[in-house]
Amino acid sequence: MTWRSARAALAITSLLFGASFAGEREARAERTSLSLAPAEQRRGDDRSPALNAIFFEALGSGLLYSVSYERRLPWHDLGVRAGGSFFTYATSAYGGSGNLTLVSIPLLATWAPALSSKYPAHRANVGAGATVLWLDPPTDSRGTSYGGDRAGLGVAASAVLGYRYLPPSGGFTFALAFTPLLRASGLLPWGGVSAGIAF
Amino acid sequence: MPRPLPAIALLALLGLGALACDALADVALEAGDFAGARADVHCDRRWVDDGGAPAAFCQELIATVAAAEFSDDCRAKHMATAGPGRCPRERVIGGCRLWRDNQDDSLVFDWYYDVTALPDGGPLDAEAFDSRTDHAGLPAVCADRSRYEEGAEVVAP
Repeated sequence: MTWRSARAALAITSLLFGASFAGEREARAERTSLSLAPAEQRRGDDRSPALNAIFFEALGSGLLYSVSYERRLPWHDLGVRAGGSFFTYATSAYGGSGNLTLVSIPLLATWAPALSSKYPAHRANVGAGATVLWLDPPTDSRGTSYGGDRAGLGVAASAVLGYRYLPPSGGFTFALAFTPLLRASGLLPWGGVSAGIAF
Repeated sequence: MPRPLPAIALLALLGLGALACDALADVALEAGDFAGARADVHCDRRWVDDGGAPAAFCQELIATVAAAEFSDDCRAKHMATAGPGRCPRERVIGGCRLWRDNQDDSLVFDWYYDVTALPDGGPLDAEAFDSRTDHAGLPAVCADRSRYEEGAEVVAP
């Protein structure tokens, strides 16, 4: 790895996780002082949502459910989210038959601008990304597998559009969103509701 | 002491609960369909293990989430031959599409065969098979409510 790429990786890491090295910090301070008066700076800080969130989503981008971690980025109300879910179910009551198993991994870039400067906890909930799906089809008692054409590993394009409650000081957060999923085989008009903790 | 819920409210709650269960089942089926959980499966009643009674038809389920259970049922209840995919179409006369409302919205067909010969043309003892029919007799078989309670319609292969 060259020095330049190492520096770029460090810069991305620092932006993602809040730490910044001297040059970046100075540049940010300069940008802030140019755009905001001191009082507005404080209000601007208040408007920034908590940087981390862990939440459970029923249905949504994880298809049936998902538990996700989201990291807010320190600029433009952007964030990145990664989650996962595991579901297994016996479709045959006969001994020796194998369960249907579904694993999903939603990976999304999110944008949550405040809907009003007066109430910064109320935000739009916009996102786009992909949901990795893996379906292991069920088997009968002789081990014959019964799965559709889409069984196995697949990727669905995923979008999010809805409302989000995300208090700047952290604490309880929830969201309600339209979360369509798209595969080559078709579109799934889907929705989700989530609740969790921001910190 | 809390007042007991009036019976009507309790019934309403039960009704809502049942509706919620149905809705959840529908949602799970939609999700399973999107992920690829639906499959086709057939139970060929012509070819049975020892103790089974051969019949001149094959039943297929299209786009079901219960394919594994259907396959196991086929062997356990009829000692017949189950497998993934649709019924074979060689030597088929025609079929009955059952008007059965399956919970997973899968379609059910019974395909009837000419059992006077094997699929490769070899000799076969037709008398050994139950439910034998021919082109002319198929509409009556499909319309037989003692056989298909919910009704069925004739379909071409």
